[in-house]
Amino acid sequence: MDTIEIKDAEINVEEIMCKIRKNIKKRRESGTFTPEMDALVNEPLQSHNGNTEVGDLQTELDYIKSNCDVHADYSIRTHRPILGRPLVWGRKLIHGEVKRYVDLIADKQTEFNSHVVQSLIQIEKNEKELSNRLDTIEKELSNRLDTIEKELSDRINKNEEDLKGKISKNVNDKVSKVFDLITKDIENKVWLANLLDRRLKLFQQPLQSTAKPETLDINYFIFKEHIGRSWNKLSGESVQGVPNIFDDALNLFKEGKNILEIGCGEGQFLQMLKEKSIQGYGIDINEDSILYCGRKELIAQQVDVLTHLKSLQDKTLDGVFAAHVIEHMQSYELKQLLELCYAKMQFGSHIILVTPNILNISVSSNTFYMDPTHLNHIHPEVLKFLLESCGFRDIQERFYQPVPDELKLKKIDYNSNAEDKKIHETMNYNTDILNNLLFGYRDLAIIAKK
Amino acid sequence: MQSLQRSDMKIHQILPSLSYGDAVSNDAIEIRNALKRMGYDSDIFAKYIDPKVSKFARHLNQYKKTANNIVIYHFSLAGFDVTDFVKQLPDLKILIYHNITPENFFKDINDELYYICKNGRIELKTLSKVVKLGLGDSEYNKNELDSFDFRNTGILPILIDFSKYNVCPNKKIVKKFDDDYVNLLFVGRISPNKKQEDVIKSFYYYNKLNPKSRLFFVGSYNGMEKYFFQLEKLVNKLNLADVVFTGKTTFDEMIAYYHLADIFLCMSEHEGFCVPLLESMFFNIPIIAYNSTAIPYTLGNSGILVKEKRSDEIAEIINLVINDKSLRTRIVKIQNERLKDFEISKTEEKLKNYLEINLKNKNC
Repeated sequence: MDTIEIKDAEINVEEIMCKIRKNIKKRRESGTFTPEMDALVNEPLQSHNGNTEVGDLQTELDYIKSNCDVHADYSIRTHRPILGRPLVWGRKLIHGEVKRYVDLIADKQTEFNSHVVQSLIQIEKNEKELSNRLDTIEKELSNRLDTIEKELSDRINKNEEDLKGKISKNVNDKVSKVFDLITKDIENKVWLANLLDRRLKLFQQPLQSTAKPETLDINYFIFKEHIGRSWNKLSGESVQGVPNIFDDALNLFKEGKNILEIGCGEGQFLQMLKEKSIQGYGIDINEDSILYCGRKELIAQQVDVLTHLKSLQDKTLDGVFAAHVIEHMQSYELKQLLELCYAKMQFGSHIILVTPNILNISVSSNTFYMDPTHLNHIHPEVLKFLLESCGFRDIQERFYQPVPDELKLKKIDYNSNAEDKKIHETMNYNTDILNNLLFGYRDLAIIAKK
Repeated sequence: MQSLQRSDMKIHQILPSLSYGDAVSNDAIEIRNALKRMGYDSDIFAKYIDPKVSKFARHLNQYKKTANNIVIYHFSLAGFDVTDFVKQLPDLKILIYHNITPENFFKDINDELYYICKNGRIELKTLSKVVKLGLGDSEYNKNELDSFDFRNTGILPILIDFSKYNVCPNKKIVKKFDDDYVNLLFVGRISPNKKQEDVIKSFYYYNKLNPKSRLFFVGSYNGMEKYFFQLEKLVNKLNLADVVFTGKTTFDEMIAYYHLADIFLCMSEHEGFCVPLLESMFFNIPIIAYNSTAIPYTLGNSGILVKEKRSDEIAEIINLVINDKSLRTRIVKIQNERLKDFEISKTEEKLKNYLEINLKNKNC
């Protein structure tokens, strides 16, 4: 619909309206007409209806300002055409006389009102100043907050980036370290595999041994590789989440500076000591084991244990660890070993001796014999006695390497209300005894303190 | 015979108040003059008389009633006892209806006027069966009389003697505003029905297009202080420096503003006739007026009628009329043609016809 109407055929209203709308579009684009202007004109008129409303101070002040003068003008008029003039004159005279007295009051009132108005204007001025100051403070605060927010945001972003960089670097370092370790381990394993390969070839050649007939000359590496699979079949894999001797030993040796591992083999425990920054070294009579430890940068030497112990100064060892060593020794050698250890260890240090648990019948009658170099069953009580005889104290026995449940004798599930409950209980009790006897812990350790 | 009849016949006019300068009072004075020219004995009777126009009027209590006379009652507000007085007269009664502003415009602005306007329409209804002829000064007013069941109605435009407008404009005012500014003008008392705020809003946009522009409101704000105060607030809010409220002016001052004006802008939402439209036509001022009540009837085919109040578009229309000389000339030309319809001789003739018809009927 056109906004205007011109009832004249000569004037084209549509054309005019088109022009007007085009102009308005331009004005709005150029900012001559703005939405703020539209908003202003669309506001309702500010009324003054005599009611004082909250927030209406400005309106009231304006009203007071424009009405502070209480003098009133009175128009004297008459409808009488002839008498009118003298009447008006007379009235004006009376009005003038009255006005003299009324004006005194009106003057005072007006003066009073003027003072009130001046005071209110001053208050209004102060209020405006305060309001302006408040606005300025608000703006400053807002600006500062914005700056702080920006700075914080920048810092957070920077820290985030730094952190990301550091995390990335740490992860890369760790991954790289792990990769290095894996690579090194693989290299070691390759080296070991090659070594084993060479040894196996020698082993498969017809026996032309120069060794003395009373000694068993086998390569322990090759033997372990060979026998390991059968051992696992009989004993099952290691059970996870149960105490192991290494953790207990590391805990006992944590303050040590000179720990000796007798029969260090491939250096598994030496590696753990190194990772925990516990200084220690190993000895073994097997040349390949010592070479392998050397590749892993572990300190190990090929030497007979008794010879080595004898060579040491007394009270120099902070601990002795020997896992699956003493069952390879003759009883007199064992006694001599314990005596030497006692002599070379410092007071308060620990010795840990791990050996197959012969209390477990499947160990003592079966798996013990899967190593032809095993010479003696070591009963824990005998070992404890020997240690005690040497002077060791606080002797305690601990059992490790439990047999997995699936290899043990099965117990019977029964209903607690069943009539044959007692039989089932007895049978299960017996099963427990048998399981302990047949499938108890595979290793025992005797720990003693000098 | 006819002249004798006229000399015996008295045709008087009654209105509650005869004031100086308002359209209804001026109309009554011009009708009095016309009736006298026609040979009738004619007077104006009013309850309140402004001394400035007291020579034209007598007090109502001097009125001598007689069934031979005709009384013309001007009705624009409730007359209360004046209406009661007219109703009991035995004279042949003619009503000239100038329309009554709907009272809601005055709510919270002027309680007295609200009451008077509200009662005005109630009184009007009671007059429908009393008067012989109901004349509206515009078609819009006549239609309203018809809607109130007046039996015999007609249109008698307000009588304006434009020869009186050829006076010297007030020199002080002309000198004060004699510059290169574009002057927008609205003439009429400050009143909520006249919607001066919408004029200000359009001027607000136009002032952005032409900062060298000015707006004159010529008219009294007596009794409308609250509304005037609202308008002042609006002007301050819109930060308009060149809005002039003249207040009540003398005739030569009003003429000066017409001389200064480039556009007459009217956004009024209630007019019974709107004399300033004719005055603008007389002074060759293009008219832009909102299409409401009697305005389209008074404008006829002239001027620019605004159908929708879009301040930005109205500002553009003002700009166009100011800058497009041919458009401006054409609008003024049509306005001049329309003004001829309101020549005093033509309106006087209409009055004469109405009187003669009713005199005949009376005699019958």
